[in-house]
Amino acid sequence: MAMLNSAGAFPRAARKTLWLSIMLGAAPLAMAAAGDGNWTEYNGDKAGSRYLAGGKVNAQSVKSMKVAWRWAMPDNKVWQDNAELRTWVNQSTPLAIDGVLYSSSPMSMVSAIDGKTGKTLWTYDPKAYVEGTPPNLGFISRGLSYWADGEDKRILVGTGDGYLIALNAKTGKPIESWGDKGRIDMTKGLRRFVDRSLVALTSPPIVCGNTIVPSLAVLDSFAVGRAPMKNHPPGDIQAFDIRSGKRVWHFEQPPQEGQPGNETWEDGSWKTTGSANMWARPSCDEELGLVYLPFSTPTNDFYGGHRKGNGLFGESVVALNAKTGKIAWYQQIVHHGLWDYDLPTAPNLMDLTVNGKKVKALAQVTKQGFVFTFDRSTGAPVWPITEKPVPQSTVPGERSSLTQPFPSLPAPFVQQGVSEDDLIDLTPQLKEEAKKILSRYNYGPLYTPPTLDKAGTLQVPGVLGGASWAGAAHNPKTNVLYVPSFTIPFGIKLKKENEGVYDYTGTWAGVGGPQGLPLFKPPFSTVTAIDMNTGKHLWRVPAGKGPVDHPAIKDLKLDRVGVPRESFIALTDDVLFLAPEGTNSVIGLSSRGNALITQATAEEKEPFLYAHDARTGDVLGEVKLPGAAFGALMTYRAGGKQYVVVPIGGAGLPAELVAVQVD
Amino acid sequence: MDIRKLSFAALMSCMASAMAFNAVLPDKTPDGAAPAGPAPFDLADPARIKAGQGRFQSTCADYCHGHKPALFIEREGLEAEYVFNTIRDGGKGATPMPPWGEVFTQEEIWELVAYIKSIGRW
Repeated sequence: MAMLNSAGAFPRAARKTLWLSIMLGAAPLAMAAAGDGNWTEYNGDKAGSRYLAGGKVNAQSVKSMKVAWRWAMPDNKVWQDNAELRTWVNQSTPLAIDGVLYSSSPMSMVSAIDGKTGKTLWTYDPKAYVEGTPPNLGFISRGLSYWADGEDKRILVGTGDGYLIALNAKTGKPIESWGDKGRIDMTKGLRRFVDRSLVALTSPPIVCGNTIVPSLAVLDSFAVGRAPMKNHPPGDIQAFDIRSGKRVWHFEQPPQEGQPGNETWEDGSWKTTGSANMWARPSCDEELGLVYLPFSTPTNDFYGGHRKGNGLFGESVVALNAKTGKIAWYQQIVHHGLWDYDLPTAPNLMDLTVNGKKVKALAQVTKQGFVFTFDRSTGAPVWPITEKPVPQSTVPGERSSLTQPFPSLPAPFVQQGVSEDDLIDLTPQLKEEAKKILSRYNYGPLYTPPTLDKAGTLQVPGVLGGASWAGAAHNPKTNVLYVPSFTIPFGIKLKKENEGVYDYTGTWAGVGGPQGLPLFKPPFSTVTAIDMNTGKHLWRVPAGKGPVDHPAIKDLKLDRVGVPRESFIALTDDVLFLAPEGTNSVIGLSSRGNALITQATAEEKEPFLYAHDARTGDVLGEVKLPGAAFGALMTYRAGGKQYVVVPIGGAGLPAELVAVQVD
Repeated sequence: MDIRKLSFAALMSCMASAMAFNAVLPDKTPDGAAPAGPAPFDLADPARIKAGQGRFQSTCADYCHGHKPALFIEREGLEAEYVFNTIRDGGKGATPMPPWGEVFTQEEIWELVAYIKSIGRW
């Protein structure tokens, strides 16, 4: 059901009053980032905060933001010379350490860049493109990891062809003594043969204590229309010693015979079920020595008749001892997943004061629009989580979970499920046309299972979220969590398979509304600020301007309705930076048949970076970018100035980083 | 769709893309289904094209073919019956495209064909 039907649910005056109460009850600075201007982790820090303390960025400075420099990625020439090697959109976000940026590129090349000028210092090319396109979306590298011990400084990169590589941060050369001459083959050690074309390292690994824990993306067969295999790559996690590259532990996913959770896989389905992997980045609490893993959906994503049971640790947050790999605690977010509701991003770690009691907490934002909050030492819910009955599958052989967990706080941050009342109604004609579109689908509340008839089940939030891999930002001084989200429904239609491994597999299609507008009421995307000490929403504002000038609604003179896509964010003390995602269109499959190929839109309608007041959500400033954002934002200081960096291009356009001066 | 709003560079990029990769449309002829008959109306009829465009935007555009579908703009070499069959039957294991034959009438599918033809060169 929709919970927000109009932009600006919180009036401006109310937002300021709520903020004042936040500041009076501000939490201690237990996890505040260092004020050195560095962005040492993909998500800003190991707590996943996307936050940089200090600096001179304020409401005034962001009124005159300007592009300071642009940097072209080194793999542009490779795909321009070889059309078979076209990349996906550019999602590569750099790190910043002492005035030097370290960036990956879609083809997993690594470069060091002068943070003041954008000049290249060195580039390392792992040649991850030699064997062809990686799975799912093809060439993507979301970023890098940095580790230092005295003068031993290293850059870690996961590649599209399944390797984890350690480089000398000063020279860009592989560290020969690490792993196998500087790299580890992540297709090995996974209990069974894994075809290299089915896996890739897209998210940067995390270093927790002396252990490096890489994420591993696995082919989602449904995404490319490929018949799923019986022995799909499993979701195992392998961890390595950061100094030597030697494997230190192996977490088996699904749990094997005799291991906790194995009993949740009926009829021996743990032997063959694959995926349930961790493609998103984990978080780490060095003090507790725990690494927090966000896991995804088991194969196949939309039908589980062959894997009856809850299926631990699919779609679970699992806390492991970083040194030993032993389970400290776990919580399953979706039982027996049928919606591809992978946990899409690193959990946000935060030190809360809830009802006067200090809590070392973990908040996991989800595609389905919830924030699940746990004590990160024990896994106990911070606020009650209730198992509630959900609609049941009508597909032969399927046995959907009778209940799913619903957090009592915070409230959902996005529309969940579908009713006719949710349809766009900006004009009577739009509403009538929207009803016709809705009639093509089966629909109902959140967790309505996929179906065989009509155009399938209208899934809201769709497979992309809700919250997404763009994650959420958190200010450890105020304990406010900022969650970008969007509403793109997907039609999930199951089809009977007469041959192959599964009785049913899923097809998918994004669902639009009348006349090129979205199907549901605005806002089409938002950012929600949540006081995590109380679990209460502070404000919610549209993310971007959106299609306010569309001919069907321009006479309504709407201010902002939000772009119908995800948005990327980075946070300072006073300002929340937000860039709506660009658009692209699928044009084919890779020659390996393992990835979609896409074309980014050359002339975007809204290629902007916005600066929002972190207290109220009001827009303070904006700057037009040379292209729309496609990757996570970061911010850093160098040479006495602060910048926000935006990844743009890729997918047929030159991939670049754009640095915007913001102070 | 007004392709005049696309820059020349973008158009060239789109065309190059469409030619460079396996099309989303499967190469094989759908089996087990009755072949499409001839279009029941003039595919150049502006009203049919407009109806097809609206249906395309609500069904095919978001996170798939896009509101400016690079796969079809200036596309050459397609045949109307082939496009009809593909929309009706989906990717059939060659692509993730769902079948629309149970959702749309034949006339509605032909309107989609009319729109795709209107932005192509076939």
